[in-house]
Amino acid sequence: MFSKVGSILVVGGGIAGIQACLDLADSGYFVYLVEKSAFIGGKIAQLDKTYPVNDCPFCIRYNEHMECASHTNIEILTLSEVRDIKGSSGNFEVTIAQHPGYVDIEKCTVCGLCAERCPEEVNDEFNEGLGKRKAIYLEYPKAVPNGYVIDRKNCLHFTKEGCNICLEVCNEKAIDFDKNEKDITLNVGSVILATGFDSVVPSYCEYIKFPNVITGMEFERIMSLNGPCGGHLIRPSDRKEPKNIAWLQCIGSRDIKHNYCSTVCCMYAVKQAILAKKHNKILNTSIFFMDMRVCGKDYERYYNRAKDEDDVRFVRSRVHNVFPVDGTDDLLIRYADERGKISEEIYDMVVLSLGLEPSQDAVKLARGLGISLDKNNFVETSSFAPVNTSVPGVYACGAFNAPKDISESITEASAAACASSLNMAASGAALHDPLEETGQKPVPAGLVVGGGVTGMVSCLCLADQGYRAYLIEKTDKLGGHALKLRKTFKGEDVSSYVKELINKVENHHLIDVCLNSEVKNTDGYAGNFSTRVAISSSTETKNIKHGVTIMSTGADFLRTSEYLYGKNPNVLSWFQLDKMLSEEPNTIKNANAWVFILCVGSREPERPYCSKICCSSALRNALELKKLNPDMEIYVLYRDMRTYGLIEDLYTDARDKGIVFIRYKLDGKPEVDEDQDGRLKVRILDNLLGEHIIIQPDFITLQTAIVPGNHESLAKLFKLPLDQDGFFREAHKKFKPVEFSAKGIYLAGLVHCPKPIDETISQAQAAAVKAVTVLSKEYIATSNEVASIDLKLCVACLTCARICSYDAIVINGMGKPYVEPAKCRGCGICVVECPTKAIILEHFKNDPILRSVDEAFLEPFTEYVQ
Amino acid sequence: MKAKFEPLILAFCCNYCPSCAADLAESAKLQYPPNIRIIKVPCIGAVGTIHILKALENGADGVCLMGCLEGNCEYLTGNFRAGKRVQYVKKLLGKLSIEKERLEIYNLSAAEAHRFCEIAGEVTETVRSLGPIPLKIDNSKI
Repeated sequence: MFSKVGSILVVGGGIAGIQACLDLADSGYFVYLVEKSAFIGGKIAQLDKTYPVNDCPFCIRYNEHMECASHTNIEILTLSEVRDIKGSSGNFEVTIAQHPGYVDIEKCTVCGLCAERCPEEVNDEFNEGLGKRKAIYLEYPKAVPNGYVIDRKNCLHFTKEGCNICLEVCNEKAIDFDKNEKDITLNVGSVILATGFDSVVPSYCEYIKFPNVITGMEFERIMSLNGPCGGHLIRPSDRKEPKNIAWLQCIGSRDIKHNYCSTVCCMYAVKQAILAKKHNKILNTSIFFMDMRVCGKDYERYYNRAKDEDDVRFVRSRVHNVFPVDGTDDLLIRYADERGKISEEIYDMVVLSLGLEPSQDAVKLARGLGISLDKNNFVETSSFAPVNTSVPGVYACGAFNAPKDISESITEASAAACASSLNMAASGAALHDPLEETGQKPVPAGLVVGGGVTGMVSCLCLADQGYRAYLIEKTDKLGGHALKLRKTFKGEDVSSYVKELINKVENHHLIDVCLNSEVKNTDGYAGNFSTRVAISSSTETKNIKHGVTIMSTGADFLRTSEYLYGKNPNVLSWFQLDKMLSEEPNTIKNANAWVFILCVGSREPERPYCSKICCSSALRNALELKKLNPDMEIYVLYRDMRTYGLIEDLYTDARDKGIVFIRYKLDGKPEVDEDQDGRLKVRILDNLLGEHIIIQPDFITLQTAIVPGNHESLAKLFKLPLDQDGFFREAHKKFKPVEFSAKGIYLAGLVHCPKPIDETISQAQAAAVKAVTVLSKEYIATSNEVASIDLKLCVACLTCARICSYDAIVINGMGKPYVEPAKCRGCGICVVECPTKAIILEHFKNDPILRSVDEAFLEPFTEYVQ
Repeated sequence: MKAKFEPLILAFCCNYCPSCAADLAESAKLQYPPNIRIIKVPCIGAVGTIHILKALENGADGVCLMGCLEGNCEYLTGNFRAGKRVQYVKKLLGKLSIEKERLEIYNLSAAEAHRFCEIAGEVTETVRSLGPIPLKIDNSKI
């Protein structure tokens, strides 16, 4: 046994908690995972599909759940609650109360006899109360930990005394009613809070009591194959197939009490509408929304697809109320459209997109710890340290920081793992647990391509954990586009942060900064890469040996020619305005009117994605201008106001301060003209008035799109895939946001998709922790699922070397091919392509496919069919 | 009365998406014809000409390959290679005067349990209409 000093506590066994545990455990730390309910997995298991890939989330994450349960460095404590946390960073004393499940998981074989015989039926929380379960239950067939538990509140043994049916039928004698609650005390160095969210049911939402008004999560369960309706889309009141369904957005978000956007609801409503259409092709689906906030990678495409291909109706409106229709179970929706016209429509079923709020228990725990929370009870974090709470040694990730979706939660979980392992490394507690693998040692160094904020943060994370980091930057200075930025949406000063970061990076003894340099060539595999870097000032090249690579080459901004940009000096781009605001505010102070045009180049047919940061940057600058000169008239011309999450505050503030918002459509873009003296004129259709209005601003700011950098040559060099828009394509859009399918190479920042600085930093940290999971291994993991070549049979035709997707087959000095085990993925493609059958797969010897082809006919067939 | 002809079809399923789809179909209790026998392979690209021909020689009336969706191959190009190979084997079948329709390749995702059943039905129907394969060797006579 190894000592558990220096272990880490993760509170919350949802997707973020599990991810944080796995990253920490793989980097060699011992982790305790505390989960309130009986099973880990959280809300993800309840979801039918995830956007924008329409994959089953549980199918994909099941391996991670199992890995979490069987990892030697993870101890899962289910049915447990954190009672108290004392102490300080590096040495917390945690008291945990663990409730008994009354079933010994080691003995339980999940035969299900106990649940079959259990007389007590209760509402199933997993199915959001739509189905029934017994008092002894398994949440769903593959729940982890895989064993039944008894729900004490409902069990007849405890409520009415005497029922011992399950005890009697259990063949394994796994049930023990005498177990008691036990207190566990743990000593940990860091704490990660991954407590997730609860749904908000606002007080005005009385219509939720109607049977056919359901929540988004209930709809997920109805559609789910393992749900209470067996995957048939039916409505709860009479189990009929609905003909039309309405989704109401922003229920419990963007209101007076919850003045923030819940971020995920737009996308999940779009997803549900698309999937509902798959269940029933003639279904009418309408989404009643205020702004469509679909600002993530490929989300805009998904939304466009819903609109154009799946024929989902989007109604920009505010819903007043929902009434029952007498004599039926239908529902009448009364809403006001954009012009204020009141309309009524009847629907069979209404789905509410309920907002998210931090879970109540977590708020209590955080308050007890003295963590500062914001007015909405989310954890207060800085954009520059997105997972650090106000208490050192305590980190928060996922929906406890702000409403966010799965991929961002996963990224943040990895970032929290990185931050807490940095904390542990500082206290000298790293616990490198040797794995039983053979092979060579990984090179303890990382190569980071791109010296922007992302690259620098990744470098520092690696270097602070004792690994050498090489930072390759194309230009002559570090900092990238962040040098042009002034403030984050929370108002923090970016330039001083970047300066400090550059200073830290340049003075770190483990970081080698290579300016004016470019990658010329790279080769190798996870744990052992070799890269040639050319420095433009000299003819020499430098050879770098490294174990991992992080791509953080960032993105670029669109050089537009629209709206007189580049022709009239008063048409500015957003960073020109940033510069003026910090350097010469007096020149712009006396402007009478100012126009901001949003979505310049974004969300257009040739660039169908949202640049995500433009809305918040425009509003922040608009408010700044208003502060300089409160009499200035400011107009923001937008298509959808995407102030997701806590940025909603800016939008509210801007409206309070009298900034005018005018929405335009893609086919009715604002027209910008200048007269002979260069004075600007903007003509735009005002939707409220239904007429064109003319604004004569002194200045126009364009929020130009973020476009991918010139990655093509780099992508070819590193053999990495690009997506349709030219950004790098990660291994999985939802669940592997910082990894490539190739091992040992990670991505972070704007190479992935447009995103604000806080998300960039958490992604940089996440990429670093993934890198550490490779670097911290004693040996480079190679599996035995590799091909090998019988040189006696080989005729060196080189077919295999040509076709291998991973370049795992190389030609050695003898002119014969050789398989590099660490690169080979064991697909078996070369085996069948080899004309002389000289290649065998180690785990696939003697052609088992051929054997199964033979064996498939041994069984008598005809009777079987009839 | 002569019994209705029931074809025997061998389905090579990539271990990634199509096998998941098949598992999903089973766990969802979806029905598909019992004529299909599934062989799981590490990648659909690992199914060689020999395997397809051997299956037909051994008495399969039809063979179908199921790979991941295009661009979704775990091993990047396996499904494309399989696609090419199927075209090649179809040519060979043409030379042997065996109907090309007895061999087909499909691409489906892990979530498409319904599609899996659809494919199973489709293939069975096509092969049933073609009748037994003219290639069946009577082993006892050799």
